[in-house]
Amino acid sequence: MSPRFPGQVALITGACDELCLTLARAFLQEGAQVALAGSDGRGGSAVEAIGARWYALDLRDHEATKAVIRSVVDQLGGIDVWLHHTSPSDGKSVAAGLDDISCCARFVAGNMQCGGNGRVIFLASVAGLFAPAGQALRNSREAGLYMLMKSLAVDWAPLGLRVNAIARGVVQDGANPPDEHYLGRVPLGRAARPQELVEAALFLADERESSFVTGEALRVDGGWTAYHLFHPFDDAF
Amino acid sequence: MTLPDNELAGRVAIITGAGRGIGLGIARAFCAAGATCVIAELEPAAGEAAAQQLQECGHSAWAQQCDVRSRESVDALVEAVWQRHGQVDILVNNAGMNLISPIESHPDSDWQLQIDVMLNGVFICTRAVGAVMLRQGSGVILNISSIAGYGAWPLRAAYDAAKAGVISLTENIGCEWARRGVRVVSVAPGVTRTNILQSLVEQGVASLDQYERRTPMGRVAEVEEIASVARFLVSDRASYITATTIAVDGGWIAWDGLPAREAR
Repeated sequence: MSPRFPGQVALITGACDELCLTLARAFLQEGAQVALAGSDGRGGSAVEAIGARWYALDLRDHEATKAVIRSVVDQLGGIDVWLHHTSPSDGKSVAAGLDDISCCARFVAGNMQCGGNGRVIFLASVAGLFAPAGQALRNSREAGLYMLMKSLAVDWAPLGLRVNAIARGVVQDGANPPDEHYLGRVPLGRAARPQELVEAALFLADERESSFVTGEALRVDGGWTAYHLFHPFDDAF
Repeated sequence: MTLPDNELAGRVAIITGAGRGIGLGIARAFCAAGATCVIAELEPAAGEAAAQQLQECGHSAWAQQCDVRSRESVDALVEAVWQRHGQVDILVNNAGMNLISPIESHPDSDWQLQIDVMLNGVFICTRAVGAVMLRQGSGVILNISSIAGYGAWPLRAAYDAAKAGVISLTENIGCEWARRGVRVVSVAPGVTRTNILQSLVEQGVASLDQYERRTPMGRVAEVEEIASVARFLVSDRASYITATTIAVDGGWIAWDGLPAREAR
């Protein structure tokens, strides 16, 4: 057994939460150097404690984004995998918009082209695939992220870049019990363990495993999306 | 964390139509990850040859003749596997073919054959193997669908309908069995370099060049690229993935097929 990403550089942007740190640890264990860039000031020490590099970044500031990407490339030697992570706890005020993410994507891709083997992964939510009530803005943002993913996949395929998304459902969070309101709708009957999302991310990042997968939203949702149309007709369970 | 070389060790997989093409590629990938593969094949000679090829590489594999259209044939297969191994951990519903003609002149027999093998066969195999998996409280069923199941690919009505049906069955049975330990997932390959493709190209009804131009990645899939995704989906690494299909198509279904405006 050998590491899956030896000598590669993984950049993780977005919400700096526990899941993000778990992802960073996984890429580190697989031999990658990891840069984590976010706007959460508390994240810095936690990130450096696990051996990843921390960059303060607010994606809404495009010039700063460009500078951070430049620093990552200068300091770590390039970017092979970019993973952008949205979080349900993203408040309206701190959430990066599609234009911000698209702008970051351009900077990242500009630095991936030399290798011709870059991989982009958006860790998004099933809320962009159907419409949970009472969160129109978040649903729209997530749906937009899927279309951005597809569009970039199409535009960048000739450059040798693959762009995919993970559609996550309910995820176990160490601090909070799973939301029963949602759990009843998940055919598997439980929340995802963070490691189950990490495995999906590693799969999409691994050029030996997913080399022909691009433009796809991999649902890691315990069957939620498939079942949402006919909930609560759950006599099968 | 590291990709385990032997992650399917101790698992028994039945793969239909594994005498050649994508099915054989999946058998190779599963065997390389430590699984025992049962090559369920309509043509006995093709099945035996595939099993022998795998055995010569030091893998654990054997073949049994099976017609997925026949409940008796499938029951006999499941019984034989049960007698030999006492378990079935993975079923890959892969058997298929692609008969091309305009719908107004599509022969009854061609329609029936394709629906029988690629839709009814998936149901028959899933029901029979699923019964064992439900008893075990564990198992993974992987259906090979197609990007053709997502839309209209003219001259392929039966194929498209069967594959759309397979995508639907994956969601349906995946939900029904989710809490009973059995995951149901599907891979939708794009155009893949197989004997089916070769024969369509030779008949003059398919053009490799055209397929390559229609695929954002600019090429068709190699069998190994479908098999590696299959391996991930049946492994424990995909334990929260069920009732869903993943396209392995180089970006085909994401794209509308037209070049960017400035390039036209």
